[in-house]
Amino acid sequence: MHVDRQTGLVLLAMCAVAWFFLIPNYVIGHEQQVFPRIVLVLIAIPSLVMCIRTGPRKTAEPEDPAMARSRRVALVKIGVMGGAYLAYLLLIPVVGFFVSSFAATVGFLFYLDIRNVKTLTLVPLGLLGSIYVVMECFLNFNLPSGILF
Amino acid sequence: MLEHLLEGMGMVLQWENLIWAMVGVAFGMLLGAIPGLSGNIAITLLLPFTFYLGPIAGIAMLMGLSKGDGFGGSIPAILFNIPGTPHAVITTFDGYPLTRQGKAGKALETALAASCTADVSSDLILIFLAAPVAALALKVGPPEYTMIVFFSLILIALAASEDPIRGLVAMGLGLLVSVIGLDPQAGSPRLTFGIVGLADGIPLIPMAIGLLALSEMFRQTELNFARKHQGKDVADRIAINTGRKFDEHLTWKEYKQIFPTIVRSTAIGSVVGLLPGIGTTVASYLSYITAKRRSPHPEKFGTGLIEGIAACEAGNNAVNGPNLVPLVTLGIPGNLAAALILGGFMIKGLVPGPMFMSHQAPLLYALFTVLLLSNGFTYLFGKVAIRYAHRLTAIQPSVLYGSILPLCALGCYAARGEIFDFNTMFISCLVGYAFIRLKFNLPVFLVAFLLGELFEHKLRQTLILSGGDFSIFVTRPISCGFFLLTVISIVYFIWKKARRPHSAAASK
Repeated sequence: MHVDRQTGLVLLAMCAVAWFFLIPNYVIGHEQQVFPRIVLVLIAIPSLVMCIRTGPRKTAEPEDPAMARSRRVALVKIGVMGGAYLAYLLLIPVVGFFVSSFAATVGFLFYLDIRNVKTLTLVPLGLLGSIYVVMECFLNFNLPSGILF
Repeated sequence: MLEHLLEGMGMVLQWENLIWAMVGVAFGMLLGAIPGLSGNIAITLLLPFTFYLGPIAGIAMLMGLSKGDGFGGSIPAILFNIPGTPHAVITTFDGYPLTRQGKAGKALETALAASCTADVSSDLILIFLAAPVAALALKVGPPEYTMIVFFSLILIALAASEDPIRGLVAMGLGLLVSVIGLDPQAGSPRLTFGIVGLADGIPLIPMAIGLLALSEMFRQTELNFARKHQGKDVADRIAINTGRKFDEHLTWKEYKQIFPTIVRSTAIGSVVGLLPGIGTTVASYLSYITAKRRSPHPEKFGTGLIEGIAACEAGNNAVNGPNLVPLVTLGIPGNLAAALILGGFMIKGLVPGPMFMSHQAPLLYALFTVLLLSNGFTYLFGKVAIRYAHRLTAIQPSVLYGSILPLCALGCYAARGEIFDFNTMFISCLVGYAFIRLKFNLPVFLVAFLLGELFEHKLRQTLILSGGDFSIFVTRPISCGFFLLTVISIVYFIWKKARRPHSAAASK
């Protein structure tokens, strides 16, 4: 199916769920529901147009298998990186901003193919040192501390 | 008035006042350049210090802060596609592409020149038109406001997107997300699903960082991974330095070329600034869109045009002066920064309002003079900042991406000091990634989110006034005019889009 039609259908389904389920259950008061419903109409109209308009028909070109494989590999790698970033964010309140950020920056740099030891150590140290001076010393703004620092 | 102006100038020209104004500009520029820390945070941080300063020095510092913040926010927007302030979102459209072409110096100098020119003009507007224009602005009621905001939203959605329909969807989604949080009038939770962290709504800075910076960074890294896997070369710099001096600076010829854009955007920003609450983001966007529509080569906007940077920077900076008009003449702060400056006035025992202009005229004109002088300081500090800041683009992208990741976490946390905001940032990153893939316009979504609260507030005020009757929008001349403009814009853009394939075929 055309991407536009798929997107339009998903958006219309979302509008229907919001109109019949979310707004009646999670917005208290008739008057309070007016604005969210107006917004849903504003989304639904262009979504409907997306569904019914016929985009220019493109002849499907067979994708180069090597290119498709590269794209899949890149997607997996970026998925791993996204998961690692989520883990880093979850670790901040536990081990503290500076320790987790140091470990994460070194890890990300290594994952991004930086192999120079100087860069791997000096960049995180310089970056986090500057953050420490500006935020903690100059602005007196306390960043999350955890079990280590 | 001239007598008061001269007396005011005499009061200002003391070293103490000038130094504190300089401190304000430098501090505002520094904090504006750090994503997550805006001029408002800077004003809040320095507000307590004004207790220890004289009235002119204290308020001069606060005004200097908002001036410095205006340019500071554009530095990370141009260099790294990370808007330091909400209004700098629009600066990224042409600023970052110019950086990618190795012209970061030129982009930053354009932003500085446009900011300072617009700032001086808007301050002169404040000085000479304060009282008469404030009286006119009072005549704009809630129905007119609602239609002005709606018209701005529709125009932004249609003009900023390649596909107007996708632009409208992005606008609607932005408005929908702005609904999350406590109801502004009843105080009851809306679409929070019992999550306490959502009670204040979705926080802007974590969302903007996730949508714009993180998602873009992941996307670029993905492309690099794919290229590497195919054995192709990966750029080892964010921007290749062209080595040409011409690309490092804004020439006098280029300044003359963008001057009409600056003048037009200053006029737009000044009008928007007079209306309390609309703010810099709308001015910035409207100026950008107007420049694009009037340009002989609109298709080049978004690819790295100095006119694009000049338009949005002039538009948002021109708001500053006129935004103080309702503050000093009526005591109504036009935006959050003006509200904080009002706090500064009150700390010094000064109450802005209609009587302030007649009783404290020399002091008021002294402050206006400080505003003008602060532009000179902004230019000087800006030149120094540009000299060093644009060299950051020579960093290897992998090093930069690795370093940006903790910076995003820092910016996200610094905005409110809430661990919960990390969730918002990460989810926004996923949404941003999906938007990029589906070709939805992220800035339109963000601007709609920013204006959602104001739009709802004015709409509900109007409906209370009319007893729930929507016909009020067409029975009042100004709002009816904007309603018609909105309809015409929708029809025009959709017709233009529908016509494009035919005209392309005809030209072939």
